[in-house]
Amino acid sequence: MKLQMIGCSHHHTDVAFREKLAFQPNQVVEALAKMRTVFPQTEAVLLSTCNRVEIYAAAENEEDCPSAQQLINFVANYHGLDVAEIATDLRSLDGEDAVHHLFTTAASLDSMVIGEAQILSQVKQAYDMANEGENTGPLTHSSFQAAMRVAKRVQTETEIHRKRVSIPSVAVADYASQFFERFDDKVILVIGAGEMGEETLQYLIDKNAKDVRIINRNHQRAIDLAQRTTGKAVEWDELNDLLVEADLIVSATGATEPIVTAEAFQTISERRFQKPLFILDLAVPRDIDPKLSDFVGVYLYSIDDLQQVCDRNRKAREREWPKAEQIIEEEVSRFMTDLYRRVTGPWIGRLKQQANDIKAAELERLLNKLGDLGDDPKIRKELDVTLGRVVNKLLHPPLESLREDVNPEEGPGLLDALKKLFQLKD
Amino acid sequence: MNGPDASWMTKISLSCFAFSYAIAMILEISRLFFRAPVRILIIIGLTIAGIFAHTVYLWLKFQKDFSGGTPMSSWYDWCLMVSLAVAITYAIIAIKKNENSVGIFFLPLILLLILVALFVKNQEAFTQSEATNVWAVTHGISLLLGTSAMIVAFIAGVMYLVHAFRLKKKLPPRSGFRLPSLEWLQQCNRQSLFYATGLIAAGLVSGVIMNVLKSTENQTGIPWSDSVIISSGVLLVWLVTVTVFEAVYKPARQGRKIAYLTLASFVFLALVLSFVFMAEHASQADSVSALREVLT
Repeated sequence: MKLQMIGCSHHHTDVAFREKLAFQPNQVVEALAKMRTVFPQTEAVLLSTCNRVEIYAAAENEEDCPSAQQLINFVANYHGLDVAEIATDLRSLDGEDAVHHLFTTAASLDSMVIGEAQILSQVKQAYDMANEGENTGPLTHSSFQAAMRVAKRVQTETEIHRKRVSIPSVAVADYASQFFERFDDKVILVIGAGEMGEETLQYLIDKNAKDVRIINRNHQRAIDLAQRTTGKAVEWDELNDLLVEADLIVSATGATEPIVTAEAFQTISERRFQKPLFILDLAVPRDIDPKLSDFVGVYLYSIDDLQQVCDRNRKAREREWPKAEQIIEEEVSRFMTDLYRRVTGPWIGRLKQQANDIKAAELERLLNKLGDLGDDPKIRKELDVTLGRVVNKLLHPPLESLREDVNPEEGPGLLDALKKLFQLKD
Repeated sequence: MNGPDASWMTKISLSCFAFSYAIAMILEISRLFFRAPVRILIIIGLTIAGIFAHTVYLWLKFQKDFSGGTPMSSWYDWCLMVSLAVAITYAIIAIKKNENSVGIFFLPLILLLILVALFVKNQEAFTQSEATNVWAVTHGISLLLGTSAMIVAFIAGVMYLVHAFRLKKKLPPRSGFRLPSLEWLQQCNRQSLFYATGLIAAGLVSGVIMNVLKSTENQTGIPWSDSVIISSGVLLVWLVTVTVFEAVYKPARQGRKIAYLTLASFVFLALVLSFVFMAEHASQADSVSALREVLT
């Protein structure tokens, strides 16, 4: 049995390199189909996200499993790239290292944002696609199902996933939820149509935000963002009216001066009748005058306020790291033990069969020599039992040692020795 | 209740449920210091066990007093009933919002009410008057429920102010001390205050009617100068003013103002209740006969 992985991730390669090797969902299907043709006896799963591109290949017989170089050639051919151009930046792992890496990846310990939840669904999706393409087999089934189980163990037994570390996720989950019980009846104003605003808006939409108004100096960009999300683009000159209506403001523009000053907000505040207002100012330099937090009912949070929580959460995750790693070590060890038993099982059966065949032949020969004595059922039974016990006693110590020899990383191991000593054939 | 299976229930004492609530409170406080996923289940379990013991205790006491002629008619009983109502409210909120630390605010008040019950245990209970039965029951029950609602409003108000303070000061969220959202606390605060005002108003009006009937029967005037009546009247005026103010003046509906108004209302109510305790406002037999008439 062999499990092989080649790939790259955000750890050692830049986004430009990963883009070259990335597989879109339709390409994953196509590449898996191609792999089935090129390596017919190989199980394969292809994991392609914005932070990593990895191919897992496995086969019951080692000679059926493609080598790392063959997999690299396959990727290069698929994308029309020069092998030399990518080979040095691709990492290859096999056996226990590949299993360890898969478990670590699924548990989100290898992610750019440690503990992010998305990777597990991406691993699951990659496995499902391989299943649909009939690229999976016993090894990929057991390793990917184990990886998902490990990820869930890490999720439930550690706090690594509970602490959010990105600014938009902290802004919505840790702060906005402390103000609002529900978001579907709130007026949400997004000022600016940049990446930060969009990501925060996405988290709010996940929380069922319905009434979202997007305002930007360049109205077309507001329209574009509104089309990508469920928001409504509004003209810039309506900003003051929207400030009166809003319950939650997310501001993330590239403006160099504050967009909302305390003086301007004075009249707006009078029109709001002290209705609570939660403002997330995610811009640098800030969009909202800090003096706004002096107004009654206004809760203003800047990126620095949120960053403190992100840093604290990141440290909390780091504290949980050893616990998560220990879970992975335990699970890798368990997986490898199970795998080794699956490998040795048939050989043990074969050895026992061989010994029993010898025993039966020798018993038959002895009974023939004994003549009439050999026809006595009592004597036949006694001889059968005695020879059986001799065989079992002889085989017990080597088989027990084989069962205990669960670490295939320690050289060829006892299995190979056993095959040679007893001349066991496939 | 008299069968052999229920005999263990007669052994339930006040200390049983007080102990359950106290342990639940200690566990709630421990949330501030360390994380334990099963703790909330234990807290809810202890609270429900406490509520069960509390209910059984009051029910058995009711049965015993009813046969003796004085069911649920002392301040001791009424304090325990209010604490039971607040405990049930807490259990519902704790189940619905099990990630929040509401118990830190509810459980001390529940225990305080039990303590007050012990404190007034030996006080004389209410007097009897045949003509005032229905009004006495209305008066008592409305005030009991109104007080419970006011306590819930007070707790929600305190939580709102603590939460608003933390958010305004941008204190980082603590996993062991997570309060319900400001929006939820504000709604809970407003609704409880609204119900409390209605119930207390009903209680006071029924009390006035009861006194009018009593004075007609006894040929005595209504004791308008009684400190309890005066303070109750002021409380009613205050509550109605708060409710009208809240309805008419928009900013009063938002945020901290309503929480402050609730706190002030609770202080007012506490003052009236202390007058009631000190003045021995009602006597036992009043409500005894009233309850008996309603129940038979």
